Amino acid sequence: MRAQAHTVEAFAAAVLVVSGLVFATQVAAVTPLSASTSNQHIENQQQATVEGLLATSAENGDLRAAVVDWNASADGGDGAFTGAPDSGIYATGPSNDFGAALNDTLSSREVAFNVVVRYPEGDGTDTEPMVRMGEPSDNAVSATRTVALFDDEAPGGFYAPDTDPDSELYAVVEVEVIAWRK
Amino acid sequence: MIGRKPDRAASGPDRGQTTLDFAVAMGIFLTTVLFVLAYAPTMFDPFAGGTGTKLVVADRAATTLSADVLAASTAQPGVLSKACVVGFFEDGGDQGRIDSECPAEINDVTDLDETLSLDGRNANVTVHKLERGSTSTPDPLTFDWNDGDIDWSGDSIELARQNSGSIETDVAVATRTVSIEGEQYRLTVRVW
Repeated sequence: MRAQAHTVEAFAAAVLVVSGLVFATQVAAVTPLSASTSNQHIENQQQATVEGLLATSAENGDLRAAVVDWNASADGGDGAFTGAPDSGIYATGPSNDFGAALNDTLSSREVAFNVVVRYPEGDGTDTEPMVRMGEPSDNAVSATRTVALFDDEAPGGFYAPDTDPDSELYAVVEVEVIAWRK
Repeated sequence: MIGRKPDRAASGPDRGQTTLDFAVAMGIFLTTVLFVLAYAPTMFDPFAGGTGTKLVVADRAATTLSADVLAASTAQPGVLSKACVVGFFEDGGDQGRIDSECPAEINDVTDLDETLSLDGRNANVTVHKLERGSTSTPDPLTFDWNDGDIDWSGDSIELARQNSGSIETDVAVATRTVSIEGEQYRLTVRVW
């Protein structure tokens, strides 16, 4: 009996040591076992690049033009972004200057991205997807930029409602770009 | 007289294979401990970053340039002032131009090391096209500023600066999207 006790004890000790390690692996956010296509530095650079892309596009007016690039009669009268395929959502950068900048910055470097426009609707917000390349990975980064639209800018049949019909302000929408390595 | 039974616990047929079992037990235990000791340090590899402080220096230098030194306004990071860009890239930095025409209040652009706090490291700053080029080292933009609203009568300048001619090894790269006069470009800082 005492002989086998040595072996059983060793197994118990080994299980204890290994379970300590397993516990430590599980509580840590990033370990060699985490599925990842990225590292922190690359994520930071992507984030900064996308933020800069939104900031510079907002400054030269490309972002505003892309948000209101709306064709009310497309998609069987439901409306869709101009030139979008039947689904109403682009699968790559839109065919305008903002889309060209997205393609040059992200697509040409094998980075996938989604773009959504968030607008006020009633008491809450609703979203209008602009570009959808798929489901973001766990290592995706995102950046947002708000754009104020005025009454004379919103096209007919626009997706976002006029938040204040009495004022010249039409709506304040938020553009979010989510990017991740393919 | 109460006689004790001979102590047979130390030896004899009841002890079975104690020595052998003990050896197996210690083998299992030591193997586990050695495995854990060897494996645990690798858990911290993702945090280590590998190349030391260069990644941080490159990232901070890119932020300094795009959001402060060259920016038209610190409220709009990434939107660069043409005057600052000319002053920074013109023949190793022209402090006079930066002082008179550029909104950023900086003490020194002639010394790249000091401007970007490189602390003796080598760096290369390049502004190039947004899309990926065919080579790993992208060609810097060449701008002719004569037709702009800045009084600039010199030759066209190349938007690239570096503080060392040494060969790049183990480079840390940081990039930003910037715009000059409404056109979007990519600013790349390489530190080695």
